[in-house]
Amino acid sequence: MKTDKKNILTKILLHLTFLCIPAVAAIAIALQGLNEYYAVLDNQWFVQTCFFLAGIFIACILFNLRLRFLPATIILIIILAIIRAIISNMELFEFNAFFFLVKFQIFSALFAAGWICGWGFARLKNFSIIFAAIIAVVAIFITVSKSEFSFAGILKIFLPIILFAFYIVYTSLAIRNVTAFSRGRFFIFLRNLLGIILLFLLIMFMVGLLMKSAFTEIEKTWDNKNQKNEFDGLLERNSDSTYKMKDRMRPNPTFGKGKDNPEPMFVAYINNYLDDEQEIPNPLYFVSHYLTNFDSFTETFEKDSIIPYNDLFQTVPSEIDLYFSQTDTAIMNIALKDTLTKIVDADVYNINMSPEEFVAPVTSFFCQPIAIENDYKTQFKSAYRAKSVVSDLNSAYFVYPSRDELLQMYQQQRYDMLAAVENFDGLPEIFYSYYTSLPDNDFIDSLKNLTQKITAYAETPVEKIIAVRNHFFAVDEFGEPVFKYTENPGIPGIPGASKLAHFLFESHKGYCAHFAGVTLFMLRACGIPARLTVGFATVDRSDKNKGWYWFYEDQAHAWVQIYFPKFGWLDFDTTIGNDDMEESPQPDGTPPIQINKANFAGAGKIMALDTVNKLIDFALEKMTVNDNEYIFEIPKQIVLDMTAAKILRDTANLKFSELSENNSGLSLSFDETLKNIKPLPNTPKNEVFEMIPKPVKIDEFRTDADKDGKTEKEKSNIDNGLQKKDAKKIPIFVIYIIIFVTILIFIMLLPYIIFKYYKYKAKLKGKNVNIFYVYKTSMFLLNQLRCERKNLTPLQFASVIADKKYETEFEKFMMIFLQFKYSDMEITSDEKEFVNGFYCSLKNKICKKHSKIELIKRFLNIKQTLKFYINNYGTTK
Amino acid sequence: MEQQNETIEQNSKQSQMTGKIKLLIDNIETVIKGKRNKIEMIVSVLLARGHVLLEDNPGTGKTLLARTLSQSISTNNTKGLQFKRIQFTPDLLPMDLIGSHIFDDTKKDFIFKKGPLFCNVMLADEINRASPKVQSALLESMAESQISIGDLTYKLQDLFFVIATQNPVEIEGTYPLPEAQLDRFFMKLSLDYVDDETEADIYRNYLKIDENLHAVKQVLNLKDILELQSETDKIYVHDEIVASVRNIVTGTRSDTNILLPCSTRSGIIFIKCLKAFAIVNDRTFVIEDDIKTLAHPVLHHRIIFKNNDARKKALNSLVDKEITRLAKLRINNENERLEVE
Repeated sequence: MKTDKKNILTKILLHLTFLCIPAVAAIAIALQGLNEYYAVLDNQWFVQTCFFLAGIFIACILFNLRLRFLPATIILIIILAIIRAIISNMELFEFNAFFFLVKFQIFSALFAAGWICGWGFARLKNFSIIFAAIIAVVAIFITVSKSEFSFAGILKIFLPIILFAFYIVYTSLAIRNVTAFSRGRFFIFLRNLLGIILLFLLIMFMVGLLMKSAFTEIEKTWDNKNQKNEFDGLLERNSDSTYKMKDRMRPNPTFGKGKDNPEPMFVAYINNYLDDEQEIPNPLYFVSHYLTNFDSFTETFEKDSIIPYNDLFQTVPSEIDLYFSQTDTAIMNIALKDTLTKIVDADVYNINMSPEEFVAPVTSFFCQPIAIENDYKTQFKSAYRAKSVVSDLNSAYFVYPSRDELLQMYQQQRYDMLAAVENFDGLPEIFYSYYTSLPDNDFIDSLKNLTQKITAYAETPVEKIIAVRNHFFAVDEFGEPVFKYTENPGIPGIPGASKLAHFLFESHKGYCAHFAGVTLFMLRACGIPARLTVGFATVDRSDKNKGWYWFYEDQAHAWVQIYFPKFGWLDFDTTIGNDDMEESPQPDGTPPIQINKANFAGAGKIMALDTVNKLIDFALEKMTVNDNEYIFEIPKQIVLDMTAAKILRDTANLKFSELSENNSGLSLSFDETLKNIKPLPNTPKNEVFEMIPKPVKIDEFRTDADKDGKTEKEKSNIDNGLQKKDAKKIPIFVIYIIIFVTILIFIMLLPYIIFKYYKYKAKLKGKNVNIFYVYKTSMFLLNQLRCERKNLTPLQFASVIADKKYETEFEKFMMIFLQFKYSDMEITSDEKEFVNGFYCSLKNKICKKHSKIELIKRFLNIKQTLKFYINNYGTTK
Repeated sequence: MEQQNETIEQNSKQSQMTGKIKLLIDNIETVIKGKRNKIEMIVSVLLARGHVLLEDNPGTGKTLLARTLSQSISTNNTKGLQFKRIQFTPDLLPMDLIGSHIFDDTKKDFIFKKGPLFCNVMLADEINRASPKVQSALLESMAESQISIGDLTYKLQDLFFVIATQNPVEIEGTYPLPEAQLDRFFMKLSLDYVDDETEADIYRNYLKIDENLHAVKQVLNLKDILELQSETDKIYVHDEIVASVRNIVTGTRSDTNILLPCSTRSGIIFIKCLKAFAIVNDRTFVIEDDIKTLAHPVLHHRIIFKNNDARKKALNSLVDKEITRLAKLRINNENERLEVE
């Protein structure tokens, strides 16, 4: 009877620790997830878990004590019903009663669920399987109710669930199968459980590793599907919630401009004005990509990897060092050959765009990342200055009919100018054919016919262009515009029919992709070289700050560029203006006006400091003088005058005294005198260096060294908004490896550590050795050398295995040990002496048999150590 | 000083005793070759005041062993130990063992004529050939150490040692001993075939076997044996050893593969045998080796197993578990010696 009680107790304990607590943990997580989506639950997952816990624990204990299910549950139901009746009949304060009632219902539901779970675990054979299934179903609910659908997220939910299901089924069966729980059985049970879980994790890890590429592929297709269904805009969202311009575009049934409240993408300052008086700002389109490839089957405009006379300046601003620049002189030189061009500066301050994205007016050739004033650091992530060769004829005002007389005059002027271009004879054959190529299908044929009709009376290219434009601006007999801008153009009635054809001939409704796509083909049909461009349309809403433009998410745009010989590529937009775009979704903020332009920037190291005169001996490694960049292989010595300099590290202002030698840094000078240094492109760098006045007056000094004087490149990278990903990934990866390796080394060394511990305990050096630990040490040592005791008695082991193999006197020692262990006799002095010297002789004899390397090898074997502690009795021959 | 003298005295006595035992075993080994461990066990049973059952195929030397042993400790003359040998046959009657009342003409009265049971060492050859009636008569006397006939009770000798042999039950014309009867034997031993070399050696010297048997001398007398038996009782058995014996015995009770588990008596017998085996092995204390060696011969024949597989494994696994437990015992405090890990 006593053992029976003990068995029940152990069974209850086992149930509680191995089944109920994991079940409660799983339920807690599930409740946490459910609370997020169901308002009734009132978001008190912890309290709810406690209810469940109470239910499962009480039920588990009671039912393990052989309580009958039906009577116990009926009593429970009656108690709950009575309490419920009492609460609902409380008339003192009605509202509170109702509140309590809802709470009580949640409580009773959870308690009952816990009760049934406890009963199931205690009594039912296969309940664990049902429980695992329920948890899986709840997980499916949670996953479905989540809006974001990523493969990693699903794995994150379902992998633990599979593991949990597996665990709960295995454990419950294992506990059920055990009748009498002894220490050894318990150990084996734990070991098996741990082993199986580890195996499972390993398999899952391997599967994950092997299938990773397949998974990402699936994820990609999912992503594409999502975009098709939800977000068909020109922008795509990166994982770090920044935006990027897509390099493909397709006329879709709906134009996913995203939310009602579009986010600002970036702020730009363009130094471009209508005439030289610098009064009327002339906004320009900001170009991201040219989509010169057309897939007529899916009607997708794509980026072409190879385009003739490539004039797209491709750069990643985040990869260029602060205040240093990247220039494509080839693009610049080609573009500068055209008449009426000038170089226009544009400063772009990034808000939500990816720091890797580069947008600038056509035709850009220069990019220089610049620092952001401290006050604006939180608002803007990164900034760069771009330079473009811009034609005087280019303007975002080019096509829209304007009521402004000045603009009308300007447009007329340009029209006259461009009318001079009569044909495209002088163009290279590859260039002309590339930009006038048309797909060959029915739609294009009918489009050609239409174009011919429209441009029948037009002679020069400009006239043709205006004719095409007028086609889109036409009004019907009631004065209503024929073509309308809509973000939901719908789909053609015939499935698979061309959406562009549907737009042009039937619905006349579309958004920029439709307008730009059709315009492109119409222009090409006229033999005018044109290309599709995506980027941002500029909307001039700024009255306060001349030249500053704010770009929002919904300003992402597609339009057409036309090539005029001698004038270059000009923006040409036929999209009917949509009024939304004209209105700013929110008032523009203060632009990050930066008056100073760094005329001199030098990167290098501090060689010496003169704190009295505030001078720095600087080893100059790299410098830019008025946007010309020079790199010195051998650092040049230069003296910096720091009297007026602001010293910065990240966002913190430093004192001069906080600088130290060997700090690397970047010195900036806004000095007006330096502006006059205008080196020609072919001036040798040494000469340019000589032109710089010494000492240079430095206005800003940025150091990326921390207080200890060590450069922390990663840190500065993060601050400049550069290489965010790399900086994050590498250390975590390294830390994982380090942890893994340390654990591995510890496991490998574990046998030796145990051995050392026993040796220490045996007190071998002294005169009074501990005979028990000498025994333990010797047994461990021999076990590690693959002499296992197995099912032999220690004495048999000593005589049959150890002494035979190593010719030791282990049997004699064992006899003394056994006498010490089992008899009431004292050990004689002779015996004591033998024991004192025994271990040394044993060690010597073993060392004779095995080489050192062999011994080390044997000691790295953790499996053998495990064998020492785990004996599988019950498996004799 | 006195105590020291006492221990020295005790030690010398001890060595004397073990010397005698060694002499006995060596003496038997001159005839029976290659079975020293079996001989040791039989001697242990003798010292534990028990009886032994030898079971094996015919011709493995059972009878020879029994005869040699009895010759070594007794002579046929009345002064020494009395040795009797009875060949059991199906038509043997209890009276043939116990003796019977016969009418004495001179006294005009029935007098009790003692049977062969009234001896010190008895060899009951092929015990399973006799009818159950005879078997039980023998076994009762073995257990009670006395014989009752009518209203008279006759006490058997102080030293009464039965060596019974039997052929395996499969062989025809036998009455197998029931398990309850087997329980009375301290050990059931089977003399296995000897190894190849010893076998060849025996063939080479087969002539000498008889010669040696006749030459076997009495090396121990009654007094020696009684002294050895009382010495056996003094052997120290550690609590952990006792616990292990208990664990093994109770383990057989909770094993579902065992139909008839060990009785408490078998546990007592086990302890007795362990003590005797220790003294035979020149020790004053019992170690776990003794348990491992004796568990099978002492316990196995008392248990009824569910199936053949259990017959092979069940007891061994229990013993191995205990051996592991003992081997892993940690000695924490030198004074307290042992502590359960």
